[in-house]
Amino acid sequence: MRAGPPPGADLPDEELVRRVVGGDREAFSAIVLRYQDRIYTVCLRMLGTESAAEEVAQEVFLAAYRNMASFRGDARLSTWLYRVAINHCKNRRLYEHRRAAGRHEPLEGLPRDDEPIRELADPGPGTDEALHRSEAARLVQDALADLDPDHRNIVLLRDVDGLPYEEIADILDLPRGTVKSRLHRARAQLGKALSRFLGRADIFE
Amino acid sequence: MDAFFARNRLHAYLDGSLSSAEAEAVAAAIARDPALRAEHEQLRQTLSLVQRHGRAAAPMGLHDKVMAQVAAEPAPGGMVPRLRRLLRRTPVEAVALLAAAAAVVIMIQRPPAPAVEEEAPAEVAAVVTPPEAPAAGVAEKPPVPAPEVGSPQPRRLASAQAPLAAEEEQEAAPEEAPRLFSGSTGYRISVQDPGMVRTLLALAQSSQGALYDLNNRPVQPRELTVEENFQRVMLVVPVDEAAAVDAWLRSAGGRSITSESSMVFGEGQTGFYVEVAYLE
Repeated sequence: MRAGPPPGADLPDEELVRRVVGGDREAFSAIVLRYQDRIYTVCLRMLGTESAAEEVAQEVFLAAYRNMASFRGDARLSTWLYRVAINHCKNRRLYEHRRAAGRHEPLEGLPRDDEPIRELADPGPGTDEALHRSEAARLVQDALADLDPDHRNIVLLRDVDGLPYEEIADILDLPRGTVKSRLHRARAQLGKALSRFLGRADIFE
Repeated sequence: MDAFFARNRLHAYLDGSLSSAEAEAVAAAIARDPALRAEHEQLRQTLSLVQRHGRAAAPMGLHDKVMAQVAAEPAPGGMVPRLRRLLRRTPVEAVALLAAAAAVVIMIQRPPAPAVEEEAPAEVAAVVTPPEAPAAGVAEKPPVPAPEVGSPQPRRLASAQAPLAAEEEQEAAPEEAPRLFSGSTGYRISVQDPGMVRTLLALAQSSQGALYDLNNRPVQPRELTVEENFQRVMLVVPVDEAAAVDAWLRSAGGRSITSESSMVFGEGQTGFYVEVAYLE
């Protein structure tokens, strides 16, 4: 077992990318450790099941590794990784939708990116998992799950990961104003969903 | 600052993005108004909950599984991945050149505007021929300045969405009497051609127009990858090129769609909102 922080944990993203392109796999390990929670969370919220989220998160990191040399550096590494993750999730949802339909459909017949894929609705956590979640965490997960996918991603990127609006606009390929207005709507919806629990001191412990 | 303006700034206040003077004014309004105070408290607690509990922890084995797969991969900066990328790109350049040439031919042989208008849905026809615009193909049409990359860019309107914050309203306020591209029309083109962005750039250039992303930045030539498989762009062209561009987008398989996007264009310009859906 390793003692202390893994190699590269204190290096900036740009240096890690440079080392990865130079063949340093330990540097990529540091990138995975740094971003795995964030990328997994995006995948989980977009796909709805833990197994699919883990599988796609692996694909995301593998795609990132293979394409690291083409990472242009004019965007932040986090922006690039989020874009890769979101597009992989979209592809997975298209694939699942086609498979559920049981036939090959033209793309025009498929739902838009901002439409929820009902076939992939979260079946709900298993009993063991539910027992181990705090009530507040479960409430928040449920409220997030009820948001439209595009609104949910914006909440995650802004309120959970703290990204600036400009970066979110880049990641989601949306105008900055749209990001803001959708975020405000999403927050209002979350506030309603959580309203009966707000003010309870135990929720905030 | 009254409660209405303070309410419009609550999100920015909690984001910490207001100036110190504005933040003080909002804080004072919150202290004065019980309803605003309750609203602020609800939003603050909601954000606090989401910030603390919104992120999921990656499964324990995720890192090791990724690294096991990476161990079997060549280094990304090595010769094999470079060759792979080169082989992928070379045919794309050739396809893009051919597509650009085809676009030029179609531009030259563009159909007369009235026929396009008859076939087009009403919303699209309204886009390609704004009421004040001369019909395409009219010899006496006034000269249209060609937009350049460095020229003032078209501005986006947020009128399709209810403005929820004062700063957003300020961003969206038009400064000139605009020609307004319909906010509810556009095209989606589904392709397996990774060079479609280059093709659209060639179309824009051959039409004396320009291609922008949704944040009004010029789109750079690049091939689509599976990581960027859904590209949304605004194709801005002179009004008298609109019918030909419209015909080209249809011939490329463009399907009329609705969108939230609106833009204000310079004199003599109009635009097309285009979504390129790319699947490898």
